[in-house]
Amino acid sequence: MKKKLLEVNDLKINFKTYAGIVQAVRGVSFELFEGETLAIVGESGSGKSVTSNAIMKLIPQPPGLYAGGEIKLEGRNLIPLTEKQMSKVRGNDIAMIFQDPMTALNPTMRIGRQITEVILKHQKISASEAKDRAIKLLDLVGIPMPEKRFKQFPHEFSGGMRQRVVIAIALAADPKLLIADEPTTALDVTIQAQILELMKDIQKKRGTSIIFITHDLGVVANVADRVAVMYAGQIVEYGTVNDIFYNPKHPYTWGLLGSMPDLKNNVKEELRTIPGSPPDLIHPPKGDAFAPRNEYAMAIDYEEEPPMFQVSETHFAKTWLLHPDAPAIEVPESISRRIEGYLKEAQGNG
Amino acid sequence: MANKLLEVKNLKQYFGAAGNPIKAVDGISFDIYEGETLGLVGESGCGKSTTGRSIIRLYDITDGEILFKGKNIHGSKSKKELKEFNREMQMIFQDPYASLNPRMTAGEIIGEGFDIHGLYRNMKERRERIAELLEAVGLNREHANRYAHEFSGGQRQRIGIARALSLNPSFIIADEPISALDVSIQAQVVNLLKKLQRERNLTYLFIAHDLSMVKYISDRIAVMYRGKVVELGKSDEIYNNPIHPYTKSLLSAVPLPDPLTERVRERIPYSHEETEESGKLHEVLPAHFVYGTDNQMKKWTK
Repeated sequence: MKKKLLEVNDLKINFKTYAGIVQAVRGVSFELFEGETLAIVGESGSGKSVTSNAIMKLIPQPPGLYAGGEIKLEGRNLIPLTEKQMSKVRGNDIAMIFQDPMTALNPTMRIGRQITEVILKHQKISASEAKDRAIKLLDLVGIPMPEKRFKQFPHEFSGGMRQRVVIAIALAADPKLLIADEPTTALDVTIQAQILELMKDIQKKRGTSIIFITHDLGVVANVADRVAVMYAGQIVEYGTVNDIFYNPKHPYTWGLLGSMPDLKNNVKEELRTIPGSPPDLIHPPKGDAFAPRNEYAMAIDYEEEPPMFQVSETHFAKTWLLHPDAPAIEVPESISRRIEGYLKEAQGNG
Repeated sequence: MANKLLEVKNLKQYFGAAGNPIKAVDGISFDIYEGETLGLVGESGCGKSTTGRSIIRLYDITDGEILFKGKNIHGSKSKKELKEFNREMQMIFQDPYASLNPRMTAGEIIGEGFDIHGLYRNMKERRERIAELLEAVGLNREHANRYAHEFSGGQRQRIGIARALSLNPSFIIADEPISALDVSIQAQVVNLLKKLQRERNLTYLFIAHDLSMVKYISDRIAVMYRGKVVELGKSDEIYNNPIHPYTKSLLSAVPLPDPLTERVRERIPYSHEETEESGKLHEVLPAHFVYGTDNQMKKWTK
């Protein structure tokens, strides 16, 4: 059994606004093991970025508030830590890669100094040693001619190269946990593929655990070992990547899968959409937050919030459809057909 | 065979100093047939948006010819002809936040075209037309009095679509219309675009970098790279039988929502090689064109 690196228990984050208190994260629990990648997927406003920022303790207080729960890194709860203690955790234990490599770098500072700055802050080594390590890091993230690049400014790099620099900075202090918040959304597909390969490669070499936040299900299928699907500040389905893609149980997950065109089986039928829009989290709806958009919603969905039902040892879903008394509703036909096609092809390939 | 609605012939669009111009679009040719959707894909900076903007006359083109319904669109035009042209061709923009005037209501935004072209007899008819358009794109007539900030991203894109439809155009250029939207909202907008195309016999130029949606919505796809169309053909043909190495590379990078395939995915890298002689479009299979020199073509089609 792999060692547990991170454990998030019933995390609740609120934001105070003029309109009222926004319950951005409403009781999120998950765990992350060493060397694995957990993908968090969901629409904008589902709380996925707030969850990851909360782990880094980057929620500004006020207006933010840790309203409950705990975030345990190797058994130690991060929430009560002071800012001073936390700044040792950041970079050393947890590092973050942001969506926009254009704004994550300081435009007035040479790339080299932006990397050595992190190394020197966290380790007691000389400046020249730090430089050697920085050049090695640039080489590790696949930047050609690292000695020359070391002296350049961010504007001399392309978008993909800048994201590599951001990754190099994140890796500078050799963190155990890397949080990547939509790291490839701003990049072209070919560059995206290179960055994903790089992250997997680094994970293999260093055994880093990764939390990968994205709304692109193709990217999830590519990088994730396990997946948490978030909706309205809660995890609604949680399982291995195969559980989620080949045996999805939550109607919201069905909706997400259905909104992507089925390229492989070349079906040109109308895309399944999720009608409506996400709920207002100042007044979260009573019962299941997804009920108003759920074509399979039952009376109880408007009354009582569903618990996490266990589907298998690894697979959980928060929907009343899994209750033994619920009518048997299967995955919509268009999605099950697609999954069958995928699995058949995989068998064919051996 | 459907009629040609738009013909682009050797279009060149250069920017910057004449001595050392940036060749954003460097001699491309393609046709768009009535009622079809042509997808234009490529990485950022390949010239796909510039192509769209040149077609709708946002730029004065450097060289070449664009014919719309057989007429040169960049030729000198009287005010009346220009108005006529503007009615026929409309654009949907990428950013639904930036492309709507925040000081105008949805009704004013949609109705602005009516005022310019004088397309109503009285205010009642104008109101009615706006309501019809709102309903056609899946909004309510009550939404006419709201301002842009009161709508979500997906709803704003619907207003952008209603505005593009207001003059009853035959041709719509959609420049990355779904890139800024969430997956589930993307699907709603794509379904809407397809429905409107059926109902109104619209022709689309769909510009995007997301190959999976482009494949889904387009009848034919043109792949652009460094200001050139490197491959052009039926969507299925491009997807299943790509010939240009750049197209192959691009396709090999698109992740699919299928973990078993993703685990064995092998990306094909592409390195651009400059050639002495300039290439041209070769028709390798019926209606499937690939750009390259004769030598390259021999190598690729082997």
